[in-house]
Amino acid sequence: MLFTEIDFIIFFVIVLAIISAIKYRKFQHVFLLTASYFFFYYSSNYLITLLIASTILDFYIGKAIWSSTNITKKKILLSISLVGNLGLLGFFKYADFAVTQFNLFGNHFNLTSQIPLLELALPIGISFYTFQTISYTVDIYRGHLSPSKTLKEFALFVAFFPQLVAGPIVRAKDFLPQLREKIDKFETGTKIRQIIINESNLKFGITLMAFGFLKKMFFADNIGLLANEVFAYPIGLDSFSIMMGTLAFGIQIYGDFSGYTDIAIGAALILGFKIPRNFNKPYFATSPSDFWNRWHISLSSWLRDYLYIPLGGNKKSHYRTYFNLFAVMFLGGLWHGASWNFVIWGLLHGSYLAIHRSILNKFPHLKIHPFFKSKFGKIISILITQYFVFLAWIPFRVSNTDHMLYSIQKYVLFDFQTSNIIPFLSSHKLPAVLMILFFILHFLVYLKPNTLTKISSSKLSYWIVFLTIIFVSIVFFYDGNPNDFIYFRF
Amino acid sequence: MILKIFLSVLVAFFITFTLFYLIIIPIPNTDSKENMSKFFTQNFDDKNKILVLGSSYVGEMNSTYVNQKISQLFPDSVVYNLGYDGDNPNLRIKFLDEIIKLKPTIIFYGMSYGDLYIKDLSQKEEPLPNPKLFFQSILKDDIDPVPVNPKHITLKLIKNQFKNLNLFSDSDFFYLPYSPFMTFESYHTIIDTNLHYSTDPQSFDSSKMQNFRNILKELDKNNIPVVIFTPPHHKSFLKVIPNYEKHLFTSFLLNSTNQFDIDIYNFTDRYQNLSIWRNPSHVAINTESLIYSEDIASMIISELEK
Repeated sequence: MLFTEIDFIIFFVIVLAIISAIKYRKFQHVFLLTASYFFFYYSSNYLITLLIASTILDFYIGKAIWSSTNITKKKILLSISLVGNLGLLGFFKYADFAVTQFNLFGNHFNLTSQIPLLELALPIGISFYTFQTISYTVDIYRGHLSPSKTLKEFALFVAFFPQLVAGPIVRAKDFLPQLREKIDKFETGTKIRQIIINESNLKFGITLMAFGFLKKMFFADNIGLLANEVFAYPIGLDSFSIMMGTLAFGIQIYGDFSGYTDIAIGAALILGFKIPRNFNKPYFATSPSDFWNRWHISLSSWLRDYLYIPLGGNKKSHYRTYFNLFAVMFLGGLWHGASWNFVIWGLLHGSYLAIHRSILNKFPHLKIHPFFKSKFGKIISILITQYFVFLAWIPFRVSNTDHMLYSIQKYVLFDFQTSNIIPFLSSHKLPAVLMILFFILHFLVYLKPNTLTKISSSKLSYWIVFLTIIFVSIVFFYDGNPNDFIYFRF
Repeated sequence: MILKIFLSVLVAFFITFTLFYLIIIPIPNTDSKENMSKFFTQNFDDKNKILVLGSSYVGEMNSTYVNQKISQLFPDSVVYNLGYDGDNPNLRIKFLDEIIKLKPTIIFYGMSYGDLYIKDLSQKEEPLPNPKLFFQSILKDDIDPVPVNPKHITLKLIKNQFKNLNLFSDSDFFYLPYSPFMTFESYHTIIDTNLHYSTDPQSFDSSKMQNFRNILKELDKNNIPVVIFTPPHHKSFLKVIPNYEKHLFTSFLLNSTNQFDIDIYNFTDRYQNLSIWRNPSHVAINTESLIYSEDIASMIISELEK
């Protein structure tokens, strides 16, 4: 079920109506779980069995780890959880990739027979929910989290529909307490909170969702057409066209993914749940590490806590730190998809992080240099950082090696073929105008971070105007075909 | 207050869709249902109507050129290219009654691999019941095969508003007189010589195959002669179609047509090496690419001469 389809709107309205009518917290949770499973089953059919299997496995293993006092037994149980989750992920997501690589390797040595591809359907959201369940068992193993009291609550944590298919990757320690939040009920002591749709959450949630729809359907889907056109066959194009295509893709993927996240966070908030934010104006990052503090925050913090720190983080030698950064970003790239272009994207970011850190290690005074604190210094830092961030979007978007190398070459070595600039812009007026509009809006939100809060707390009449502008922009520029979210494929 | 918030959202929706119905819907859009209805309800002259059916592979033939050729030998005949983007037998069958009412002299139906593919994931056979199909059958408009494209109309409106400023060229969209359901843009005219194609494995939709047979059966019942032709593709397209799929497609066409004694013209690989393509499965609307329309005209002439 796509957030941008009418099916979801109807589904969500029905969920809100029923949840408001149910008076008992336990029934509300059962209903939310049922609705979440229906949401998943609606587009994934039998693949829901994997979600349920992963949930049951980790619930009981989590309990067993918690109750065990034997460290070896704890380790074995954790290993079972990791093998189970990563096994599922590996089998469904990477089996065919591995077979293809093996066959290519065999061709190299003139092996006549080939292993047939399994042609498995990629279960939607598997990369996200397996990471959630892994973090649950690891946190219990580390003693940072007590296990969920009931299977129902744990299942709801794993399957909660707003964030199920493309995140944010929620941690159990952030979500489970929300199911057992207590409210003061003056004379009779405390009572466990019911899901009540309250005014401020509803208004802010709708505002956030509307903004998410705008980012996805107005900006990403319309600007993405330019990227599709440029990267369908980039060979022969000039540098300006490649740069415009890269810029378009950078905006498309941000609008697409952060739009999805806004809708997810808004929908969860309306239901009374707080989901951590996933983006914080990433295109204003002033360094590679700053970018990863702002882009797909739930994944980067997951990789930091469950991969980078266990590898030693930056507590060992400089070289070990660089290696750790490469290793984490390599796996981060592979997490996005079973394809070499994602690995290259990850390794590029790994190299940015390593180079940035080595420069700071060599010249520690740069951190506090007044130039980089000044406005001009910040602008320069942003421009340099974003130049490299957008360069890395090329391998993320283009899987054909020849096309990728050509595009990178044209992006890095600008060819100054200026004669095509006006014709190119003239034949792509709408995406060009939308790109400018996107940057203006992005800049305004950067300058006024509380814009959405202000809009949602404005008078109802103003709020209606805001919603109408957003709905008109979406409906009038909709081409009749809902586009799926890019991160649904991961 | 919560009720007021919900009402506000409804008001915003109401304003948006009122504007939509006031501004977008009345604007003529050659892709829309209204135009299909208009076409079928217009007063036709007494000329013999020759209909060409199919998807964009067919829709992009040059109907002006074909009519010129046909009128030289058969001045009482006119060829209507009723192809449109995304057509398939499941959609075409909904217009079959209107097509039959036109009493065409003969119908030429272009059928290719892509017209039979399962396009929507929800149509794939799943081991468990598929609620999506059930809801789609309730929510979707059964009559309108091609959804209205508001973006297309909005851009058209903007272009009209700024016409005097010369910001937009008029030539961005164009229409061919005997192709009522096709809108062409400048990119349709560009011949691309660097064509590459890749696709995931596809499978044929049994309901489309069945509806194709039903269409032939219904036309046969109404004594309307039919000729099937397979639209052309570039070699890069044909290279990636697996052999088993080619065999399946060919035997399906033969089985379907043998029953009604229908002729088949094969264009599939006829121009695979020529530079006439705008993409691997569509011939460009270009004077350099007229060979496709020439051959369609020859096919029509040879069938009319029979």
